[in-house]
Amino acid sequence: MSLKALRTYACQVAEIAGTDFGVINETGIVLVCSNKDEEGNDRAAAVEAMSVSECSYCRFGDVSYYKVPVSGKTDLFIFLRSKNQSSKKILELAAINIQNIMLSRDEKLDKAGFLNAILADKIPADDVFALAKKLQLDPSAKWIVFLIKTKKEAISGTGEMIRNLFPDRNRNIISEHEGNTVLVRQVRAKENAGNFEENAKSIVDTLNTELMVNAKVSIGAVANDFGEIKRSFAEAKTAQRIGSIFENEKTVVNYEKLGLGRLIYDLPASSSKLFVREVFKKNDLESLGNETLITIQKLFENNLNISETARLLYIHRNTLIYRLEKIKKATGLDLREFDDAVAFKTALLVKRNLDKDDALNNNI
Amino acid sequence: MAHVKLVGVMKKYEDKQGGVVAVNDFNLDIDDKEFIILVGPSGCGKTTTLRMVAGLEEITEGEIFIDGKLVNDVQPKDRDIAMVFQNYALYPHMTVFENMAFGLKLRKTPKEEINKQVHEAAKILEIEHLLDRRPKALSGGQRQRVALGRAIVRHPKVFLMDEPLSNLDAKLRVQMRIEISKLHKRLQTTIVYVTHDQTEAMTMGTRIVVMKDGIIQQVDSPQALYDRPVNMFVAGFIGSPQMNFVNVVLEKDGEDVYMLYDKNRIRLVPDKAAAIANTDYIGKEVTMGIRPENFLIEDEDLENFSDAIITANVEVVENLGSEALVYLKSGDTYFTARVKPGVKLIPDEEIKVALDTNKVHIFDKETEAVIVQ
Ligand SMILES: Nc1ncnc2c1ncn2[C@@H]1O[C@H](COP(=O)(O)OP(=O)(O)OP(=O)(O)O)[C@@H](O)[C@H]1O
Ligand SMILES: [Mg+2]
Repeated sequence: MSLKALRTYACQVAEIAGTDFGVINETGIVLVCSNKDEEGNDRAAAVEAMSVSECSYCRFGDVSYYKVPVSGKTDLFIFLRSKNQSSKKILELAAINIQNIMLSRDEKLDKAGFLNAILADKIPADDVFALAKKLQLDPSAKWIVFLIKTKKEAISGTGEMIRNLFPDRNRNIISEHEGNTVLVRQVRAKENAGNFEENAKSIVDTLNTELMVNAKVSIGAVANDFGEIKRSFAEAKTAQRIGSIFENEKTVVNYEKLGLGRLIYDLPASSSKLFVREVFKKNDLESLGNETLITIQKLFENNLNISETARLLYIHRNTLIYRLEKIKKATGLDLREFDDAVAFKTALLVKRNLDKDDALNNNI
Repeated sequence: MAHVKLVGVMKKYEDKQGGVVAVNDFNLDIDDKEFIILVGPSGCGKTTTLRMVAGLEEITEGEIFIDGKLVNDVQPKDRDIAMVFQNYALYPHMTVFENMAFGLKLRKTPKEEINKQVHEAAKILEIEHLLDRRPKALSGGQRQRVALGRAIVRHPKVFLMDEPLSNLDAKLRVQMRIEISKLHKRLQTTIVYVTHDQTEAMTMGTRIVVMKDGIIQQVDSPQALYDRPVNMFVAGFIGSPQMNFVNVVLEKDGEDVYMLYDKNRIRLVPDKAAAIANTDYIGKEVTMGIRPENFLIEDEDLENFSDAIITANVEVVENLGSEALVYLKSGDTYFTARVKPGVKLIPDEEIKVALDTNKVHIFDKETEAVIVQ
């Protein structure tokens, strides 16, 4: 909090107590005092004595002192020019006040801390609503979680950039959690998946162009109130993981659009292996070659529409048909047939999933 | 001075299924102050190439030089580049001035310097009167300019732009194309610009790189790409409506060479005939390419090209005001012809059409490479 606000507060206390009141930093310098002449004076002796004796309250001459612990920061001390019995009570009350002012002023830290505590399951579900309200967040509004992955060195820059893109602190909470930047944003009326994905894309492009770092963003499903934020976060995390297996080229992954990957991700390895062997027989996918694999990918993206795929790849229809014949010869699957296409596509995804598991095991 | 050079650049995205080679054996010399465009169909590796120049994507093989300095291991922020991408976002609570200044502030540029740069950029972009506004109060085109402004104030050696206009509506896109071309002239810096839209490429670039499947097909000026495509892919990709293709058999008759398909027999002009008369292609099937505007239907043309006439059925006539597109069926082949508006052609009518044989292209049917152009 600013010294100005602290000085105003000191004057208010002094007026009620009818005597001088001031605040000292941990080195013993008077920061503010209702009597301006006191400011900058050295009261280190008293502070030192209190630190050594570990007392929170003491009296030197006609001045009473009190220690104010401030979480996450160095302690402050307050004093009142009085040796009355009541001076201790006044100082105790003032200390609580200063602590509260510090907490609510330092909102940024607080909201991020609050979010992290929720994600780490450190806040009982019953308290979430009340705490959110205290922080001026609307707990009964809809919220959505974005998980932004960048390289480690870029995390602090990323947080700052996201803050600038989403400046309203009561509607956008930003924190760092498990090496990701988390953005929890209040959903506006009439917003849908399209808006969220646009948000995510502009986050990626802005990080690319302004901070010059790579980024991937995953999106959870909408949380219907603040109590569901943890779920939305878990979904974003799942989307990040599943996206990295099945759609690694995508920079934005939406939990609500995971498609087949969602199913296949949970399949047991044993039956997966059998299925892949059944579909591809002994054939190596590699033997099909890069060009053919891209052709297949585009064919699937265009609903097995030969003309459209050929047009997009700028190849002749007949060239495409020739490539498909080649695949048929190698695998026995005719991708123009719906059933064969389904088997091929599914096997391709199952294989990706298996490969990822292998890779993970190898890493351990 | 900013000369960019790519030597044998390859990018492979690894996975267990062999990985995807997104860009292969990419060699390109980009001159100082050049406006060069990478164009090609979806997935051909344009973005990947641009991101490798930016340093956002690692290079699997090869070398990239900016101003003669090898930058393979140089971080993006130290490459002296600026980027403009499709999904830019402005900072909503900052004014236009602050939006443009933000990047410089991050880099601890002194205040007066920031002031100078932002005003200079704003002047170039003609948005000086908007400097105090917030993004909400700007039009789409104005926002786009601010996004460009953020790049300009960095004073980079090279601008890298990836489809920066794709999110704008058609009208604004045409307008901003002109703006960016003007900008290039004023800034006098190197711009590498990615688009999948051949019209955009043809209207903006001084040189165009046509890519397909991660491989450069041809690097040339817009006119040269149009007039002398090196293969069927480039021939088909550049130009709208597309070049027409038909498989023909080459027949030699003395000095002359004829192209035969269906019941049609077309004589090649002497210099094209000479180029192919003594090759293995005689007696074989090749692919002939001809652009829509090289079909001629006026009586006078039919006389001039009397030995290059085909018969075709008029399927549809599309009058576009400044020109008309005629969809023709000749034997089993469909052609699109571009003719003067107001011609009297009736659907289902059989007509005679002359081919301007000075303008036909002949391609190898297998390799699709050009044989005669
Ligand atoms: N991170 C990645 N992981 C795996 N494959 C990728 C990745 N990024 C791109 N690819 C693949 O590399 C190829 C080239 O992609 P790139 O994005 O460069 O194409 P593009 O020419 O920019 O296409 P578009 O016009 O659609 O933007 C594509 O086959 C794409 O699927
Ligand atoms: Mg691209």
